[in-house]
Amino acid sequence: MKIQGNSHIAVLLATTLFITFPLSAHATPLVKISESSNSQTVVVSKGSKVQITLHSTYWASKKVINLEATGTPVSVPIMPGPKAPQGCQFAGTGCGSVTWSFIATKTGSASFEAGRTSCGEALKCTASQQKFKVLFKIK
Amino acid sequence: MRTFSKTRAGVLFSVPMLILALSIPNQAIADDQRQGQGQSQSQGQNDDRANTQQDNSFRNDQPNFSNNREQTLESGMEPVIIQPARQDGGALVKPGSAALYTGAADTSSIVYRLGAPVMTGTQSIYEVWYGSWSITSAAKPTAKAYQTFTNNFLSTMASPGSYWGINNAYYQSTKAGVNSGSVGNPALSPAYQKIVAANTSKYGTTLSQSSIYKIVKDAFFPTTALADPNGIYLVLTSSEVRVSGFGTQFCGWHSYNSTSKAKYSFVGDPAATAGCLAQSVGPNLAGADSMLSVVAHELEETVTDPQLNAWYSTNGNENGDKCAWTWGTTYPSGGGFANIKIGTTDYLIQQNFKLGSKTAGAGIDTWSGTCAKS
Repeated sequence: MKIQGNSHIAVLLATTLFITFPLSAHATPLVKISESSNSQTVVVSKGSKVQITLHSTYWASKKVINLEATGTPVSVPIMPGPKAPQGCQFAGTGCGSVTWSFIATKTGSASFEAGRTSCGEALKCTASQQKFKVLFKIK
Repeated sequence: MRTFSKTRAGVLFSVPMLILALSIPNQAIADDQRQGQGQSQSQGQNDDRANTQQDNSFRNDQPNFSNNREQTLESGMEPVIIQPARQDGGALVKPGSAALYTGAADTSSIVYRLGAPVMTGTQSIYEVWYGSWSITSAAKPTAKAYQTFTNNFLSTMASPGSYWGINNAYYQSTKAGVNSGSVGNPALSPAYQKIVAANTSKYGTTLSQSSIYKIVKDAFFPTTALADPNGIYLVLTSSEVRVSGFGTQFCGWHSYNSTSKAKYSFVGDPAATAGCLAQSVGPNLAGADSMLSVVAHELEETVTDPQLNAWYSTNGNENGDKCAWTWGTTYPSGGGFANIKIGTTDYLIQQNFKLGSKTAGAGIDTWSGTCAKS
């Protein structure tokens, strides 16, 4: 499912969050970030868990500011083979994902930046494919 | 920012959540999103790369290649140095305009899965130059340059202490600490080099993975079920040949056919796509330089991971992937940059993952390493 930025989708998101975090519970909010948040600012509450998933195994974190890591990045490659999705039949295509997990421990500004230089098997990345950066306002 | 009418039932909680939601436009919250190269996947798909490359469509192939579609390359191995400016695969190359694309190394460990084979002994490199590579074509004066330049490197890269030596440290084993064979060196033979013209081939100028394999089989083992077990079969396409995914998903690849046991690889002419060109001007021909670097990438992956189950990192990267687009120290050459000199010829060849120290584990050997060119 891909979320587009308009009003009814926002209602859906709020409803989803409401279901996930009922009023009576004090569960830590979980904010999931992916490529669609590139170059954007995300507002999160202090203490939130922030999970950033980028969908190529070639991504590597370059700079993290004011986010506390809660483990090492988890890379989940899609292995080549006839049952692999289209475009993932060969080793080295980068199919799969990398996930970083953080806690927003301090109020103020935070950021996460990742980079990659391969975008397929022996394939260069274009300039726009090389960088992912998201800013956070932690309240 | 949009606003919403409030209802009593969610005021206390929904308002802050809506604020949060509206502050995260286009945020994806599900895992099934595909983005760029990325694909959704399930954990179960990651369990085993062995025996996954079978393509049953190849089994009933009945090749019918006539000799007039093929030519055996001349065995000339002299260095070919062509200075810019020039016409290179359709792209006008200007002197001094080179900007070398440089990647970042994946320095994570590489893992060997015990029991999986590598290519020990001497490998025979078979080449199909597919497309307009005719050495007599006046319209393609660079064709022979590509071939002789490529073969110059492949025939000299395994000299002692040179580029290929990094691969010799990779091994196979059935038991931790017991080496049952290391990667050997390649050998070239003019008898294993053929030109196949696309316009007279039954596969034409638009190729799939299946047709790449069939081209190999037609050229080198048309009537036998099994390929040369020590063979590496390359299909090298010229710039007008279209291969699905070339330049958007890959610049080359290697694969394995479990029926014939063929280890085969595809590399296209980078002059056909900017995504595969390291620099617009190179020490030789920019297209040939970049193509050779991808050839080296695929060869080193083929010998260390021939059946796609031996040497690769936990993120799926093989040795060539870990060092893609990294060059080490470079120096100016031919208006661009080179990083390796063999004899009198400058080359720009990506680095390879050089094994460092080992940590043995249950069923695997884990090795640290760095990207290097010798």
